Amino acid sequence: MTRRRENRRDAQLKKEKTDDGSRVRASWFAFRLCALASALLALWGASEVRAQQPGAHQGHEQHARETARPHYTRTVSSYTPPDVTLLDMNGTRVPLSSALGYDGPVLLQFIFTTCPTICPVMTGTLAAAQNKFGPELEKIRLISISIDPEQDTPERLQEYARKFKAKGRWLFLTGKLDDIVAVQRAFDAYRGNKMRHEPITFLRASPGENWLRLDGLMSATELVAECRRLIAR
Amino acid sequence: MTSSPTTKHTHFSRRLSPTRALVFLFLILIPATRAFVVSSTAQSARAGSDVESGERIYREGILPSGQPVRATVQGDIKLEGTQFNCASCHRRSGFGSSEGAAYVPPISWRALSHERELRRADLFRKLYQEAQPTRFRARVRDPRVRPAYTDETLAAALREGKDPSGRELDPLMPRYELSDGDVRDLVAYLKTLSAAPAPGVDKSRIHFATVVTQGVSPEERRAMLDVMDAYFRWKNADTARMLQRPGVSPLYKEDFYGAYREWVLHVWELKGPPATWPGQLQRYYREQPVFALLSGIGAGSWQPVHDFCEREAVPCLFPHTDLPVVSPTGDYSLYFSKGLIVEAEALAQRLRDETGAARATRIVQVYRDAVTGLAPARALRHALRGDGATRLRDRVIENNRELTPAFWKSLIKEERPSVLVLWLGQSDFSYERIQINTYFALYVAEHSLTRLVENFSREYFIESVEHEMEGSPNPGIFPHLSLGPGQRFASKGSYIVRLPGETKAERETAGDWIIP
Repeated sequence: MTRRRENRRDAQLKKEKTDDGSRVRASWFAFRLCALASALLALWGASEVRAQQPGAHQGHEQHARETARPHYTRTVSSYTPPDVTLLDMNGTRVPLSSALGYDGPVLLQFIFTTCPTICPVMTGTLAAAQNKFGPELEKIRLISISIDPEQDTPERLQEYARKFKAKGRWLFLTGKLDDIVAVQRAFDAYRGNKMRHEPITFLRASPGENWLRLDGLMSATELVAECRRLIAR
Repeated sequence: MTSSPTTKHTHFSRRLSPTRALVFLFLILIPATRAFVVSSTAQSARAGSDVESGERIYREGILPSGQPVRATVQGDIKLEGTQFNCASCHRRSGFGSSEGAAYVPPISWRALSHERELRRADLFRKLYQEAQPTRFRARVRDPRVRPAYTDETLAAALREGKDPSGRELDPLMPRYELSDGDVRDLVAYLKTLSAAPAPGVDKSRIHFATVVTQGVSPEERRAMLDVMDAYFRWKNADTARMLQRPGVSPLYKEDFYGAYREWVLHVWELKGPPATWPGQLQRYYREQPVFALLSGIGAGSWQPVHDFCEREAVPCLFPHTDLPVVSPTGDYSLYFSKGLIVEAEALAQRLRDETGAARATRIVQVYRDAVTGLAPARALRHALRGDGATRLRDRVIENNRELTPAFWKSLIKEERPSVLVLWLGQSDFSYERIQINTYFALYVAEHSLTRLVENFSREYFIESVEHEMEGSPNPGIFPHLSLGPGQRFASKGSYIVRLPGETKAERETAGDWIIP
């Protein structure tokens, strides 16, 4: 399991390397190798879900049949966030450990405010989930961390939060570029360039527990159901 | 500009109390050129027409009623046009985007009005040159052939998320709540979207211009133009080599033969009073329209050039500008940095942090009566507003006055500053900086243009630059360069550096990178 995760990370690092800096002209050969690796990873990802979430996977399959589109995958992982201090939208310094160590359920996303396509939908999902939770929302902490911290100053995060009608306990964080990269790396969410980021939502029920990682976009109903199922366990 | 405020002239600091902060700024000294031209929008839209209403729905998500358009994504997430609209994903150009695992297809009128054809050239970069997740690649390979859209099937796509073959569109595509009239407006606009060919491009050539204003030294001019000439020559030689070898193309380059153009550079020299520059730019442009303005070097305000870019909707990429137009930002003018303005803002932040505890800091800023002094001085005053602990005094020097030791002695005696800010010269100026930044601007432009393949749209080019800047090999003048949709300044902060002095031979940074 651990080795597989490392393999996956190695593959990701290789991807970053080839795409970073000057454009490497991909040869067919390299592309085929990549495609093969990706296919193997996809297979492995599916088996991991089966291995770890048997009940949930059945639910997922059923849903997939209904919509004919398997649109997100679930993985359970343990992450070790770096010891960094970020800034909230009021400009107050917030140690990441205290934000993530919140004594209650946490939902975490990486976004940026000028992101055109997936962030408005990811943030919109959290915003819609806020309203679906009802009184439970009091206990839940939502966290959106900007992956474009030099652009996303606290003022811009405030504006973004207003735009999505964020309620009280929702934290919007920015910080130093290197720290933000370190946080993304710790969550296996760093893709070398903000335009390449992927829609991922991380959930955990209480401090110290593993994270449920949801890769892909989903409806607010699905997200709320995932969250409730996690808390109930 | 990455460096500036500095501590120099140690003979002054010795005369001041050593406990007092002393900050000297040596910035670019350029003759006064103030030219403020009222900015106008690039589009000459017909007032009240369907197309104009459609454009507002597309770009801003606002209906003709003034209400935001409402839509549902991912099945149950209600969003409003101000949060998410057509242009967010399909972009202003209509050529779509690729971000994370999301593939957003082009909806330019050419794309919508034709049966979907599979062209490897259009997908080449998405498939082979972008690191995208498996899901994305699978989506791009899925042919999804569909007939051409009609007005009726477009309405169904917008409202119900069905394509002309009856297939359900991705749940990421909003299902819009639009009246028949709204749909008519939007479709009328879509019919104009990237429908006309961009000026400055023909079958064999693509024209670019660069600007050199009066007051730029021959050395600075040469530093920029030599790099540009060399780059254009190299680029054209490379293109010629590619075109000579059809059929021998291991990287599927023949798919791109239609995209190759000879690059032609026009140097637009602006002379005389800045008030006459708009007219000169217009004349140059009438003579030979260009696809984009690449680089440019000037003395004083950049407002006339910026206004030209916005008025004519010409993409402009400016690596050297010290006085860009910061507010309001434009749609077509992209800068490497906010120049003197970001330096003033960074300095204000540093001063506020340092003097936070010490009450009654007396800051004196000295500058000449020229835009190169007035603009950063105004920015510093603005950035320090509402800060009760500082008192900011301005000392404006006549343009022809010499700055003798006696002048400084009497200034120190009269003002008794605890901090002295000088917006005076360009001691950190170097030709290498001009050369490297010019090179990088051309590199980014070349790779951004390559991404367009044959779709020579100016808006698409800008979107491509926004995307490319972060991933291109930054030669290091700026610690970090990155743009994103709508971002107009690639470097967001400033260092404060110490100039070499009696004890230090090298310039060094004094503190962290400041992002104001």
